[in-house]
Amino acid sequence: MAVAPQSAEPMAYHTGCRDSLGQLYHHHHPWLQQLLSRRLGCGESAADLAQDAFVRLLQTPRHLDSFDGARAYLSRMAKGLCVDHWRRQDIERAWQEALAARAEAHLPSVEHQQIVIETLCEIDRMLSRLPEKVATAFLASQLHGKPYRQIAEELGVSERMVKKYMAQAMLQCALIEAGFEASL
Amino acid sequence: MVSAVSHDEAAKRRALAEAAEWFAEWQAGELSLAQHERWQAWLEASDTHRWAWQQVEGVSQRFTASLNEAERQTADRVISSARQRRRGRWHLLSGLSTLAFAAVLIGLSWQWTPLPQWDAYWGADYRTATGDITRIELEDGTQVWLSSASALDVDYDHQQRRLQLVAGEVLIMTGQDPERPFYVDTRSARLTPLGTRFSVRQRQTDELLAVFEGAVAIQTHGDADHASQHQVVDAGEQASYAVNGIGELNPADGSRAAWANGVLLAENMSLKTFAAELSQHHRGRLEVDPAVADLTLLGAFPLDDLERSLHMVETTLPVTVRQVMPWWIKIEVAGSERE
Repeated sequence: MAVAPQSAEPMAYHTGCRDSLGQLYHHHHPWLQQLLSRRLGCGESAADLAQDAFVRLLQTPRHLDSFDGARAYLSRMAKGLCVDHWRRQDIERAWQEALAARAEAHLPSVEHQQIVIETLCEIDRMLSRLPEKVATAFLASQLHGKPYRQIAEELGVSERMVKKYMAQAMLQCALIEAGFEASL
Repeated sequence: MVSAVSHDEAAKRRALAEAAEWFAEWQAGELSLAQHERWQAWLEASDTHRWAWQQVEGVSQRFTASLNEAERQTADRVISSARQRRRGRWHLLSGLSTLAFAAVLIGLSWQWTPLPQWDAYWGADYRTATGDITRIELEDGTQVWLSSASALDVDYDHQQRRLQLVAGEVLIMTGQDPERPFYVDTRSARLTPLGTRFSVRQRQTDELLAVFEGAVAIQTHGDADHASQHQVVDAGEQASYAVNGIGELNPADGSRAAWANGVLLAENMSLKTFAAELSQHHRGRLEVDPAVADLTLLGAFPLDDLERSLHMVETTLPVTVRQVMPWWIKIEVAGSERE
């Protein structure tokens, strides 16, 4: 059970204000780090992510109106951070494997690889809500410029269906791009 | 995280769904003439539509902007393998969002009935795809150049020689045949040439006749509110006309004949007009930043070589040509880079 703050009154925080954020940090940081550590099974990553969470709260201020409200919010945030963390890990691992398979003489610079990985994470984030075939069709068209007919053959669906997939995928991405929906 | 959706947001969401539908059409690669016009009309119909299309553009750029060719080849394997790893962890795919998509798709598909012009295009005796120019020689020696994305019906019998312009633009050099009169019927008028070389082009709302040799008589069809009008256009003159009347005579624009030789002739032509002309001959979208739209060009540009034409523009004007997507090119102020 978490340790409640000294006063029994509900605790309100405004995270744009340093003092208030300091209080939030004091009250919830150990709890958050523990939560993240349990989820990720890695203490070091958990410490980093907990730090990230507070940085984000400072950058995009929120008003949290009670002790429990703050915990509920942080818990949702932790979930999102874990998802992002896993995504990055997956992408990084898959990228390293692909790079190893290419076995080229000169590898791209570390900076450039980071940009590529970031781009891939972004694409992955956008497509994350989409069903498998829809995402596959969209990637084939956007990254390889494959014609619908070829995509249809590869997926075993009609060309009309590919066109529907494309519209569906683009709508989902555009909703995220426009800020109407969050990615998973 | 459910919040009330404002009226504005609802309109924007609807526009995004429509933009996504158009995007899927564009990506299919083959946009018909009628569809192209419908898309253009959709885009220009409102700021919300233009905003929505910008979002689509933004998404598309994410996929290409910072990846080179080799990385793009690897990218989808990387992403799909990451997705597979993840599937074990997530059971959270919302069936609801899939249902919403289906509703949007059904709601839009009924609007997509092809225009009558589209049927006529495919049924025409001669037609050209975007980017093609065809030369046709008819039995009386009449020569016809059919411009990009155009269609023509030929109806010759022992009494008359009749051409029907179904879509686009033709340049005609009439052959001699004193026995049979020669007509060209267009959407809004009958043209009667007399041993001439002239071009006629059907545009969205009117038609443009340019005469280079001899003379051509226009007889508009007229309608319930407008009487039929008659006008003779002589060599070196051009006139625009529609069902409801004929505009004033102007000096003939050489570019209306030059395309037959695969050339776009620009004589102090604005960049905006230049792009519109070039667009007639290429699929995809050629957009001009309003800041440079009124710069003027002088020169002969190859119609069949878009890259070279645009390069020529880049070297003569303070503009940058940017390929936003494979099918979308923007001409912008030189040095303006997207952040």
